[in-house]
Amino acid sequence: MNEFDEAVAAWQTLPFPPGSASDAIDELHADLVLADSWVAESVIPYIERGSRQLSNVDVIKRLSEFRSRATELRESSESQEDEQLLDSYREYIDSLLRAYRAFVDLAMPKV
Amino acid sequence: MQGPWRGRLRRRRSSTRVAVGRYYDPQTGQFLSVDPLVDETGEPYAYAEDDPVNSSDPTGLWCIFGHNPNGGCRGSATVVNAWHQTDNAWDCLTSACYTTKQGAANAWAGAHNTLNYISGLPPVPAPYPCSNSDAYALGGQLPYFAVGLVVPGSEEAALLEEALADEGSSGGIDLAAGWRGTNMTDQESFAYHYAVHGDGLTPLEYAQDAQAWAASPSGAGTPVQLADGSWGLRYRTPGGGPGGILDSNGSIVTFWTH
Repeated sequence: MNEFDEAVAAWQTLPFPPGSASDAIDELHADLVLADSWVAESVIPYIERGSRQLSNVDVIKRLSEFRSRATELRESSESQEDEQLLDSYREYIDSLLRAYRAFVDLAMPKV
Repeated sequence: MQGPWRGRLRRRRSSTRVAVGRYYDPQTGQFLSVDPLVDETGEPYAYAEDDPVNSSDPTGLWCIFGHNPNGGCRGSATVVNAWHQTDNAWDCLTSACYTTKQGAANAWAGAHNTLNYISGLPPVPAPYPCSNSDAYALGGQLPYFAVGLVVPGSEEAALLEEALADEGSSGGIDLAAGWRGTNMTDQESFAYHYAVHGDGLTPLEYAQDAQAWAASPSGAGTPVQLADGSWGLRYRTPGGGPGGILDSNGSIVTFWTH
C-alpha cells in the first residue's frame, strides 16, 4: 500500500472518540466532528470517483489548532479519564492530518 | 477509483462483505444471468462447481434487482458497486445506486424474498410496495432471486440477514432525505456519518434521530465553515450528548448521538 492507502486505512479503522461531560473538552469534540467532515468531503469522493476537490477550509492549519487545544486541555486535565479521552482526540486528529496530507500529495501533485 | 477501498467505507460497522450469487431459476436449475464479474471470474455462468444448492459463492455477486425478460440481471453492476462500497444492502434502496422507485421496490422485494427463502418463509407476494414496479409489469412474475445460493445457517446467510435487517428497517424510504454533502453526494454523506456516528443504531434509527434533531436543534448554534467554504451552524449538547451541524438551509451535514 502507498502512503495514501495506509493513511486512509489508519483513519478509517480508528473509532470516532466520544464527547465529554467537560464542556471545554466537548467543545473540542464538536470541532473534531467538523474536521472529520472536512476531510471526508475531500477524501471519500476521491476514493469513490477520483474527484480532486480540496477543502475550502485550511484543514491542516485548523487541525493543528485543534491538536494544540487538545494538548493544552490535557495539560490542565484533572482526571485520568479526561487525559485518555484527549489522547484519543489527538490520535484521531493525527489520523486526519495524515489522511488529508496524503490526499493533497496524491490528488494535487506538485508541478 | 479502483483499489483496495471498495467495500471499506462502512468500516466501523462490518468489514465483511456479503456477496452471494446471481439469479437462479429453481425450476430449471439454471442461472438467469451472466456473472457481472465475468471479466474477473472468466466464468459467466458457472457457480460453485455447478452445485448451487449445497455450495456457497463467497466471491460471487448478489443481483438484488429483478431480471429482464431475457434473463439479464438488471442493475447488477450498480448493485455490485453498492455492495462493494458499503457492505450493506440498504444503500441499494436509495437513489445513490438506483434512482427509480421501481428499482427500490424490486430491491425491497428481492431482499426480503431472499431472506424469506433463507428463513423458510413464503416469498413476498406481488404487487410490491411500489405497485408499478417493473417486475410486476412483467406479467406479475416474481423475479428469481438468489435462492439456493445461500446455504441456510451459513456464515453468508447470517451476514445477509444482518445486512437485510438494516435494509428492511428502512422500509424503502430515502434515508438521506434532509442530508447534504458538499463534495460527497447526500447519500454518501449520510452513509459516511452513519458509519462514523451511528454505532448501535440501524440506519433508519440514525436517520430518524438526525431528522428529529434537525427539526429543533437545542441551544444556540455556533457558526462553522463547511468544507465547500459555506457557513453552517454547529449545535451540541453542553456536557455531552447529541449534536450536529446544519447548513444555511437547515440540511444536515452531520449528526452525532454522543
